[in-house]
Amino acid sequence: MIRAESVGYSYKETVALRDVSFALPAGQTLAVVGPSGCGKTTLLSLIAGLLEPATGRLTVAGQPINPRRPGTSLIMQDYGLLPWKTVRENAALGLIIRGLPRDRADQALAEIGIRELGDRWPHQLSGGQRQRVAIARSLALDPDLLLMDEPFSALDALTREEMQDTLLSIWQRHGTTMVLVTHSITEAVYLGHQIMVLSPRPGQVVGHFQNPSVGDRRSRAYHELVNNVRDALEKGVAQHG
Amino acid sequence: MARRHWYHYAIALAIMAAGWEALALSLHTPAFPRLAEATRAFVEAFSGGPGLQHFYTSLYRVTLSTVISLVVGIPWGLYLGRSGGPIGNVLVYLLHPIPKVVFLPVIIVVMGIGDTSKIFLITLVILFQVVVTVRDAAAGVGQGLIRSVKSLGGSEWHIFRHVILPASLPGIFTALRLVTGTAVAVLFFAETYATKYGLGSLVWDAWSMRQYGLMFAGVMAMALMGFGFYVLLDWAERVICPWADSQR
Repeated sequence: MIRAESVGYSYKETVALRDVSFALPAGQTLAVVGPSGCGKTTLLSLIAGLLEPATGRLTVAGQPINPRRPGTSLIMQDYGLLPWKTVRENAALGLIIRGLPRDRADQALAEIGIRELGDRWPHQLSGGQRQRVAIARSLALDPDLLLMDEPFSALDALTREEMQDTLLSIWQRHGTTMVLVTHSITEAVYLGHQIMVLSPRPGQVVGHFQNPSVGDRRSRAYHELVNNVRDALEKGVAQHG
Repeated sequence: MARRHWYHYAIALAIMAAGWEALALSLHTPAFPRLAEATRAFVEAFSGGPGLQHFYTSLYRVTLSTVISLVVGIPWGLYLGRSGGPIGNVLVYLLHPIPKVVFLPVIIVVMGIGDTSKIFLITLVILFQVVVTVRDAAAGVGQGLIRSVKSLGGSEWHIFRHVILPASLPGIFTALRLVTGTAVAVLFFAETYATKYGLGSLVWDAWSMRQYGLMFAGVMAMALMGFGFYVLLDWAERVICPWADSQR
């Protein structure tokens, strides 16, 4: 689904990403872990087509990246909900922009369990509810690639685990390819078939793991992988930080 | 802003009446009549006939000027706030402080002495208040929301329609509150020449004939007109920007 070959990106003189390569098959999830400022958000913006790579090659579904690709859906860290639209209107925004019928928004809200909040304003919702609206807005577009930028970082621990489970069940039902950027190691290991560890700026890959224990917080393999990812993360910080 | 009830209006009116009486009693001059005298003159002048004609003429001029200043000023302000270069902004800064009234002779030469010149003068005075207020509202729109609409495949039009315009609406209402007040105040100047009707000319004529009761009756009518605009605007903002209302 996504293929990155030696992708690099710079903001003026600052190199944000260097020599990032990976391949993510369709229907799999990739968790990107790294310290603040390691270029995780830059990587997502590149995949979403909002930025152009300075070096290397990046393709989505075999095509060069394109901000208008209809199957790609990006959920931003602050959720990007418009304060002047109700929950229902926010969930339907992608449909309205693409000129599609709006009823898919109601289905998406129902699927994610917040249909009854349709007439509320975003500022009347809790953090977890806002997150759900943002996910519903993406789901309404029936994406084949879901990109998420630290989606749960602003939530309390319990809500966070709840949302992780929600995300997992969406993946199980739809088989959507997902890229999830996070600074939580446990979240990465719980949700990612692949886990990619980036070093501090400039972001370089310092560890790449295949994860057989997705969706299991209790197994030995989970805890071992958490430790391995932590080692890679600390080594990356020690070498580059 | 808290919801207002009728007694809030009553209390504000009482404070104003008390202030009026205190001032009238301490000044003790025919140039500032007692409240009762002004009220009597007000009732007499506006209970029909020419008084109402004065009122409607002014109302028409203020409303039309406001509408024109919005039609011209909102797109201008949105443009300056989103993509306007430094030159456009410097131009506005240079033009805004100029006392527009000094152009009156030119306006009269070009447009004649009729309604057109009066409406143009009022529009000229309030236009830049609209431009500056709307520009600042549009410039303050968060980059995150624009990215959000872009990431959904939104075009420049979608960004304008779903982000810039709604984000600027409260600012547009602020502009409206500013300019309707100013527009009513400018009436006094715009209606000093070549007009039979208008609150400005009513006040002006009463002044020159030392009918101070009638003069203040005209001032009261101006205050009422401005007040009516504010009430109307508050209501319109609640209907058009319901999200902002529920935040209060």
